[in-house]
Amino acid sequence: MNLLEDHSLMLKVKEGEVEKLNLLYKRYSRRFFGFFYGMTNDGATSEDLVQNVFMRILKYKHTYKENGDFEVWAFQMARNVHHDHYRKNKRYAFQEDMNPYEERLSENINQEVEMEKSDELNYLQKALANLSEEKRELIELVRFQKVKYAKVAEMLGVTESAIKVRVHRILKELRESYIKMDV
Amino acid sequence: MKITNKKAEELWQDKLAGNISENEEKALKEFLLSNPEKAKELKDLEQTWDLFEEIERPEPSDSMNARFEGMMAAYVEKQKEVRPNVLDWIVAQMTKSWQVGLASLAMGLFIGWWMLPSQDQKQDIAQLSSEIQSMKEMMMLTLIEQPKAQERIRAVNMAAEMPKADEKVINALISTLNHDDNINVRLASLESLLRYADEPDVRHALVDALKMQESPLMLVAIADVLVAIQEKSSVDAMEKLKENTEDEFVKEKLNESIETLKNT
Repeated sequence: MNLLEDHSLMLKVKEGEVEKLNLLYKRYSRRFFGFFYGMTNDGATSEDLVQNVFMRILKYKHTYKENGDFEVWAFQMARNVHHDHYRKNKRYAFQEDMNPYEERLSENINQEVEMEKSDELNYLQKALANLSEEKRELIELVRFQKVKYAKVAEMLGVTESAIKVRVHRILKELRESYIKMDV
Repeated sequence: MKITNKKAEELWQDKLAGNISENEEKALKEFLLSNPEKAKELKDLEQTWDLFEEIERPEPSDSMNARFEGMMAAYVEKQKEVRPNVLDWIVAQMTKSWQVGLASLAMGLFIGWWMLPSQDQKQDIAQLSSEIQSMKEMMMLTLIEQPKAQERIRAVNMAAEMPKADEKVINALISTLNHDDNINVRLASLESLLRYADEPDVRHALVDALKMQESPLMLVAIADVLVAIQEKSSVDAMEKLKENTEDEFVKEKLNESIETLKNT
């Protein structure tokens, strides 16, 4: 077993070598941040939640199993952290502020294609924001954080095939939704 | 490979995830060629899927890393503090809950009962203590023969500490009282004999000692002891000694002792 694998590192953390968490933090903190940002659309909150995930990892390190999978376990923890936060804050007010895109837009003001694409992107993001929490979470995991279908299936306790069906339906829903916006 | 619409959707997702075999890809392609409607749907969705790539996400700030480092440092520090002293932990547990306290008490009682000596053990203990007693006696009898007065005083004091002295020890003390050259040793043995004053032999020996002693200090001390133990039979011996002694102080002491013994 490679001693630098996530799993080996987490077993060391479990045994009390907590400094090994530094390396796991380097590998995962940006992904968790991205996941939380996708879920909350708020950078400061996302940073708080990343902190919470690592605090939980330390607190519950004894529950990490010998045959565990760190990515599954840690993302499961990230999901729980987000659920707790969501329960407390109910629904997020997604900001209409699309400054980065507007800036990009102004740079490419004369490029029709780019402009069209930006519009599409804008609509897609709005459509994403309108998805239910559950659906957005699934897209976030498989598309943005590139967690394998099999692992997401393990997290959600369903078959891999069921995950694929869900993703397919969500994509359709999204597409229909943003195409409507364009009209 | 039999391909259905559902299977085609799954394979298509595998393809997007870069997780499709050559055979599967070929089968999917063939299926889509004969199903143009499904092919269009999947192509459209692929475009949506690709569009996600364009979505930009901000980067976390540097303060996130600093906070993580701070959290780790605080955690390590806290671990050091709570690394417990086992005894503290036990006491804390016991005081935290009365059930635990009660359980500890019950366990203590059980251990106490379990360790309580049995009848056999009691006999063993009795035998052991009698052996120690005889060793002490032997030691005392050896010490009392030593040339150094200090050693003999130790022997005499040792006899005083014995719970029950046997005849040999008492005889050794009486002999020391009457014949030891050193007055301090003789005084020490008088003191030790006082402990066994209930024994008739000891009382007789004390009365007889009046005839054997010459030192006024010893005579006065013996007279005090005889008064203390109310040995009235010593009055005759005291009367005789009074007539024979020339020491005024001794005479006066004997008069007082005789008076006390007669009047009490």
